[in-house]
Amino acid sequence: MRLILLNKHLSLIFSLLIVFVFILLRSIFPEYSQMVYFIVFYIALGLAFNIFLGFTNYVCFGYTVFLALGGYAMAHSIKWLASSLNPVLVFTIGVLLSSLYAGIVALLVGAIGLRLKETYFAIATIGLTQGLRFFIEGFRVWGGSEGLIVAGDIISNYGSEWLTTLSIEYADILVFSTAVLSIVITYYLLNSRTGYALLAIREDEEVANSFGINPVKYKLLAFMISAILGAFIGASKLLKDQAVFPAEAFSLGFTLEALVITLIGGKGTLLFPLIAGILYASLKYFLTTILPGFQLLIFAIIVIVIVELFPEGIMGWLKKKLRGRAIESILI
Amino acid sequence: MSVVLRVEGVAKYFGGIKALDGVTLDIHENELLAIIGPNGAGKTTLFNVITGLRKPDRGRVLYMGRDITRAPPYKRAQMGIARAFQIPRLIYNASVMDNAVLSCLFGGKMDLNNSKKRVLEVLKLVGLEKKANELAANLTSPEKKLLEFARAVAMKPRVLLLDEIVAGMPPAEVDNIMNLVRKIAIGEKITVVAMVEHVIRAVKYADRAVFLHQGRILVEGSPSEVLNNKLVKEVYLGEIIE
Repeated sequence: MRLILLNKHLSLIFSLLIVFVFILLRSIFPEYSQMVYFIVFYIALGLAFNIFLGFTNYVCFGYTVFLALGGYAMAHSIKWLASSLNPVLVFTIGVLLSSLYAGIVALLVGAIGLRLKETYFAIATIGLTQGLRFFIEGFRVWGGSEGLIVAGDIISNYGSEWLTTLSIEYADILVFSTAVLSIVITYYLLNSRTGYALLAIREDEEVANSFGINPVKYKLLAFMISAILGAFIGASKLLKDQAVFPAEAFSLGFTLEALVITLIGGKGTLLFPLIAGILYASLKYFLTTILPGFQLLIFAIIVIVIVELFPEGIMGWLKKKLRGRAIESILI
Repeated sequence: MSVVLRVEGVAKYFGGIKALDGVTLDIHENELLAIIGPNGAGKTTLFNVITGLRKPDRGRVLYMGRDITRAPPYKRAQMGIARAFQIPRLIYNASVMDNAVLSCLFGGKMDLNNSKKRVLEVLKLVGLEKKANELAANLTSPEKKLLEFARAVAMKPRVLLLDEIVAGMPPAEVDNIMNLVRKIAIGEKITVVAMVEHVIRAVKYADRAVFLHQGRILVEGSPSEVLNNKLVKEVYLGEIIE
């Protein structure tokens, strides 16, 4: 009995351990902080995306929107408040604001869109990305097509030291916290009443509905959690880049990358998407260094191979192979 | 006997097809009501309208005197209306226990511990208690049907809609299952509305029967009255060889 209980927690312990190894790595070798950030960024992205896709089977092609909103929220906090508040408060308010932006948009989109079937939702969310981008550019709100650049605001209010501190320390703290938060939430969803409800809805929405589960409520919950975590990642990226441009922020890029990570990792588990995030980030880092520009071509081939050969994801396939062995329990 | 569920002038059209064409039906507390009728008579649509999976084009559904016509399915389940589907719609990669726990947790609004206790109790009633930890996918097809039934019973419903529980079963099994349904309905004080195939064998277990044809209730009465009705014999039983 004790062993079973331990097994149940192993995936959580393992996942947290991996993230802590990266934190340790970063504090011992600060010169690698850029690379560590890059990897943890994709760990967080994969996990946050998976909270929605993995638990509901819905694909949100507009996921980039939430990263963009997180970026805009953090930029707003700096632009509006840097002259009157200290940087820690501005950072904190930026984080809160990003969850507010993403939460509201997810609520609006989800409350309508999640009543649709999976395919229609996916199509509708592609429109979301373009719609928001053209809204910002066309109506010249939030800096229009020129975007928002906050480096100047930071330097003039706090000095150039804070530029480095925010872009290295605070961006890293935020992305690490998001990764840990995503792990804990995924684990909670795998082992809770809410998780039960989501499992039932994913399997057969009509049946779940007939047994007292409100499908829209639970799907919306997963969608909002996933969106807010995505916004945190976007906010951290804003601190890294110190600017947000609509053309880049609303491209499909991050959504597609999150999808590739999910393809590699399989859906609805904890440790797999995490490992997939590490694999993807490392491979991308490596390919961008040795064959700049070619990484997209190579990933296209990898995706086609995965879809053809491992429809449940490589990790899903691996899990099937290991079924019944002792190692299976930690792979959940 | 008090009316627990009332269907009032319900009509449902799919394009030009009249699936239900003005059905009015009272379901009494603690009775076992059998609904019979040929394929396409509107039985499944009637169940869908009662559980809320389909909204009627006309008419109302009243549950304990309350109009629930616009209530979504999950609310109706929480109020105590459960349903077992004709083809078991289980979560096949989850255990028998987990499948049934779900309905207790949400439909029955119990906590996890009470849900598990309740599920074991019900699995014992239907004889599946030894399979509690088995994956639902590993059950035989009659066992899957029993689990589908047990899952609905587990949430302690007031009204249970059984969609063809004996369909595809060998005649000898029909008696066993119908006996079981009757026993559980009485023991658990559940009002049961059952669509039944194997009409001649199954209907006698009901307290009352209703004959549905082309979206209308044509005959209503005791099982023997309905079975001996001239119209029922002509349009329905004439085709059945048992």
